[in-house]
Amino acid sequence: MSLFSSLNIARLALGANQTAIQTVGQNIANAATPGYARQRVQMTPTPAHDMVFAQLGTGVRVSRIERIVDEHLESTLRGARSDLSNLTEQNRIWTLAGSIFNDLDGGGLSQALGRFFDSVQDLAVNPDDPTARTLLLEEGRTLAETFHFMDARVRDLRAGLDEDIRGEVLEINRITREVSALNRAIVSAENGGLNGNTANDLRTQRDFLLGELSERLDIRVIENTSGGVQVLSGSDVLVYDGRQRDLAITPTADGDIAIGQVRFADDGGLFEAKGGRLAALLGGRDEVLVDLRGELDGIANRLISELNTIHAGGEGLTRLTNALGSVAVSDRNAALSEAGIPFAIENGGFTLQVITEANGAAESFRINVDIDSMSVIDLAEQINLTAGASHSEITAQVTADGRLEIVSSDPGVTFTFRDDDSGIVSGLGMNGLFTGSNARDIAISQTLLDDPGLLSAGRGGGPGDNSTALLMGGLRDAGLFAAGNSFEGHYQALIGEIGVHSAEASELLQNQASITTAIQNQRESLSGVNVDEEAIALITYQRAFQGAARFLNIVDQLLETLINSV
Amino acid sequence: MNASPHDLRLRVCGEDLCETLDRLYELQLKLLEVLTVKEEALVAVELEKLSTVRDEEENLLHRVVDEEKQRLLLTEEIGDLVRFPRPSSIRVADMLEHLPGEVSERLHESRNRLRDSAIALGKQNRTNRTLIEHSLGHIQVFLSRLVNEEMMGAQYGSDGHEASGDGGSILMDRTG
Repeated sequence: MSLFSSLNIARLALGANQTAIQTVGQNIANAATPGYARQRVQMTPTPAHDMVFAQLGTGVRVSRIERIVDEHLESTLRGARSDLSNLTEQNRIWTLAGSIFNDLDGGGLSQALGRFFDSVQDLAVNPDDPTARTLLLEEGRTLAETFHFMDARVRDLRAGLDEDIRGEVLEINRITREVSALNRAIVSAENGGLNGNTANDLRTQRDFLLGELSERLDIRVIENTSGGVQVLSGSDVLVYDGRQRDLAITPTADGDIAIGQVRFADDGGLFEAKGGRLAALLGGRDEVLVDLRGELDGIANRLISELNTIHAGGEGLTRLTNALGSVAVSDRNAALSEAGIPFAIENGGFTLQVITEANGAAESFRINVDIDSMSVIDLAEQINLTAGASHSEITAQVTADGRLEIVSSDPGVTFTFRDDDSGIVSGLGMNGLFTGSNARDIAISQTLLDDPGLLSAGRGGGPGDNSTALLMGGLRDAGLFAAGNSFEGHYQALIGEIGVHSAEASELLQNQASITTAIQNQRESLSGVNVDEEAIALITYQRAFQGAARFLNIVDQLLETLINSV
Repeated sequence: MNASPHDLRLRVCGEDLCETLDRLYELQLKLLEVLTVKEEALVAVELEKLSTVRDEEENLLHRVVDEEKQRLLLTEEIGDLVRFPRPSSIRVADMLEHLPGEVSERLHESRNRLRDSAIALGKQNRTNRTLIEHSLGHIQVFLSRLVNEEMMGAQYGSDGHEASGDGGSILMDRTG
């Protein structure tokens, strides 16, 4: 055996042995590294040489250091993590939504509705009492503010989710860029697959990133023979070998707030998240909160519509000499059905009753309404042609901003609205209790706040007439919503529905957490590092090497003695 | 012409020494094979193999020691017979000229073979020593990151003995 051969054996031996021990050390160092897969060394002896004395080995080489990884398990774990983060986010959103809609602190919508209808009841008992009128208006204002507060919180939550979505998109882009960079590095290190799966640390980094990505999206990972991976979300490719498709946020107006739509940066195509945190955030922002806000708006709209319809047909302590609608049409010349009136209207009509206060004489004028052919200007003209023709003091006009206004130029000539079967009087906000049409803009009529005497409690029956107040009070228990629910009943049902969703999300989350933990444990038992096990391996190595060292000196001494004496 | 008892004894001792050296040679070859396997086991950290090899090595070394005792006895006797100043220090090369031709020739041949195999064995032992020392150092580094020294128990040197202790040896002293 030549000196070169001996040195080469020693070199190979040392290298291989060091690799084996270092691998144990590497495992220990990364025991706490999330997603790290333990590694094991595989060795192959190099071909032996026939020598004079015996067949001698020429050494050993490390054939590969393999990561102990089960790809199917990794894929299953990614799916489980995706579901878990999706459900965690859903649960968070439902919990936050629940905190907006709950009435536990006594300051919720249920209580505000209750106090408002109590004040209506008080007005019915004392229809001429100025205090009862003021109290009703104050409770109405509190109710409107409660709607505003809840609407603002829903909008804030929606804006918060929008911010979260933007953050997620940035993170997704960072991860896909890093994965594509790692793809390039792995393909290069493994020589396009010719060297086998040897770039262990790079692969571990990539697996870690794919795990992170799976929490944000539901992804599928397909490994190519070259060592690179394709990452797909649904049928959309996010990473292909060394390239990635960035996502971008496109600002879009959505009602009264601006939200960011998630699109592909390259072609602007809409990106539909299929799972993970992003899908939950998008679902929360664009579905859950939109629906809840719609429910809140629905309650506010119905409340305004129902109360205004009754109120518009009633009378206060003083009758009207001026009625300016609170609803502006979008186009003064458009048919009423196309004019953006935010309440239900239909063909029919209403009666405008003109009263000469000096003698109490009342004259009624029927105004027919065809919502498909009449504009608000046509409506004003018809009033002028009927009531206006008989009473020159009465004129109707449409303001520049699209609101109907009826004015009596003589304080001794007043008017009231009666028998509105078209809904147009309340639809245009004439003599309404509330202005606005939804939770955001609901408000007590400023006209009534300025002159509480105009608050309708009766219907022309003189002092003590509480007929309108009774009708308004009757709305409290009226089954105006699905399943015959009242306002409060409907709101309670909504709270219940949120609670059910929240509980369902919480239960699903717990189940998914158990499933994910079980899969993680399975993965840990296969790929995870047990420090005790690795330490025992090292100590066992140490003892074995110490044992192997025991005869070194003996052999040396024997040989020295022998060579010196022969 | 009859050989003297001294010459006869010298011939018998020479022939016995040849046979002893041949047996030593055979044992050394076996030991070389074992040490080669030992290297492979060390490199691949194959603990089971290492344990088996260690037993084989110990067994062979006991047999080598027995043969060495025999060789030393014969060497000293031949040294006495040829009146070497320090009989126990006589080398095979020194005794060749005193032995009958064919015995001398055979002893020379056995001595050369044994020397060559001893050199090969020495090389293999040095390779194993380097490997063991290096690996133990390496293991020590990783272990020190994990556990306190007290927890690691006794410290051992590369010769396999406790660093502070006085380990025994199965090798008898050359003087017996």
